[in-house]
Amino acid sequence: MSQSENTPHTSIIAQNCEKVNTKITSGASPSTSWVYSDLVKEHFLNPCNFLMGDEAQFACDAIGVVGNPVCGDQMKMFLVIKDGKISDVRWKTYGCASAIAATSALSELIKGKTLDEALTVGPETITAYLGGLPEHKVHCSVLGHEALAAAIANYRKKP
Amino acid sequence: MLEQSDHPIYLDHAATMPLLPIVKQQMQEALLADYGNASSLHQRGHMAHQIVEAARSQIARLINADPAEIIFTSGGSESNNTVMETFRDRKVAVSAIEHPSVLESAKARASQVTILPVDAEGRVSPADISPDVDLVSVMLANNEIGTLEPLAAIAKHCKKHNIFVHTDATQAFGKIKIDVRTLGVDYMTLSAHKIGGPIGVGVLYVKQGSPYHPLILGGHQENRRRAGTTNIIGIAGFGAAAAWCWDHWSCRKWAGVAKLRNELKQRILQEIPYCTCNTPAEHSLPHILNLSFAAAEGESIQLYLSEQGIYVGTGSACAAGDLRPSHVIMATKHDAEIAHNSIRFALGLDTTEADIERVMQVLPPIIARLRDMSTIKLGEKDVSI
Repeated sequence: MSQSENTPHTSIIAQNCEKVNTKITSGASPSTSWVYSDLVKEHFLNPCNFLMGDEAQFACDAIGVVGNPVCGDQMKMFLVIKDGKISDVRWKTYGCASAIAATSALSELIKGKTLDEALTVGPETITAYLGGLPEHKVHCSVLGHEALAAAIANYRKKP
Repeated sequence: MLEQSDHPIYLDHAATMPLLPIVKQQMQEALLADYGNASSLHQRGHMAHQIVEAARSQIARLINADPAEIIFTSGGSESNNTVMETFRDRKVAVSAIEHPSVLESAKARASQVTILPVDAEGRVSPADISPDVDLVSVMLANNEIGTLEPLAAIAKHCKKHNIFVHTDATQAFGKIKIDVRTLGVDYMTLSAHKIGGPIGVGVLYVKQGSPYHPLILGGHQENRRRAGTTNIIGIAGFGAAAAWCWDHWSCRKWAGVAKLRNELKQRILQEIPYCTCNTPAEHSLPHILNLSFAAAEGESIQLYLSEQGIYVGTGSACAAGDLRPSHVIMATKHDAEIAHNSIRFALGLDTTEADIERVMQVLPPIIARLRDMSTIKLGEKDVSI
């Protein structure tokens, strides 16, 4: 159990996301006052598939990382691969709201896909899925696919 | 889930201050009056002229200046640019933590710009000022971390070498006692909206006899020092805010805010591990508290807090238009992560004990959650104090 499961946030952590039905549980400000789209906001407030607690405890087949804390964004993807498909995925992200939302969105987009299918998910797909991002945010916060590519490359290098 | 408060808690008073009720009232009165152009000689013009001159006196007395030394501008940025225009093609030294409207306008106009280094608390040392510069610009108090600069000592040093001194007092104005004579500065920038006045009006104090070149040409307004039809409504609001500060001894009120600010600081440092305080323990404005939370990025903290109705500022690159982390924290802490992870709490005169309590209910779980999500492991780098 991670520490955060004991925090008041537990109820807004949805690990298996159905964004269509997910209700945002807090909302001091109306969506019009938010700089990002509603879907970005939802993925930021209720991110899907993030790896809670110690990453060493999560058994996975491949890990990939991209970014640098000095630049303000870093993503790490953890893949469980069965029969050539991504059967499960977790991630960790250090970064801003759009970085968290974009990694969450990516994790939803690649689940169940073959490795080659997953590699076709790029920044445009992620951005479109999220209903757009401020232009200046795209190149620095939509990096998760690079971590995914690194994870897949690491996996394929394995003997 | 976290409890929602009935009212939002605004802790971003360094960004802008809500309009004071008396300011709203006097601006409305000015709006409803059938004023003319302050430059016109007829009755309506004269009425506008009187509003402007009353405001000029109200602002002048607050900094112990002569009303003739007060030039109205569109705000702090214009005032700062005007000083740099005056020193076009001259040698200028500015501190590393100045507002961009000083840094960038100096670089655009001066023949040579020296960036004065600051210590870990953000303070400039007068000894670093080279005698061969023509102008030194050092802010009275920093807007991000609250550091008070040793302006009197800087000005004293500069006078020895016949260097003119400008100070951007935008953030300090109304919070601490300011006397342009004892400070010994030649130019001072002020802004209305940091003291409860309207956005869009500022002042440049220019000591009598100091060099001056207008930034905006083409009119006789402001004694030919700033062209453009006078902003009567904005100036009426600025005057009302300055009068409020004078009548209510605003500096004493603000000094009282330090108690709550210090309490917030102590509680955060005690209840949340791996924090760095970026605001100096001494020599700081009473209401600003800037802290960095290791492994938790500032924009994310800011937006999670915003969802809980708590409004703060951040030095994160992600929240900035140019995607660069706070130059102030880079100059003081020399660490991009500390800059990305920084949050500024700027308390107001109406901030209560209950507000601080609510911040302390909401903030620790937000930091814990972001740290849980983060790729950065705590303790891998020593960032604790």
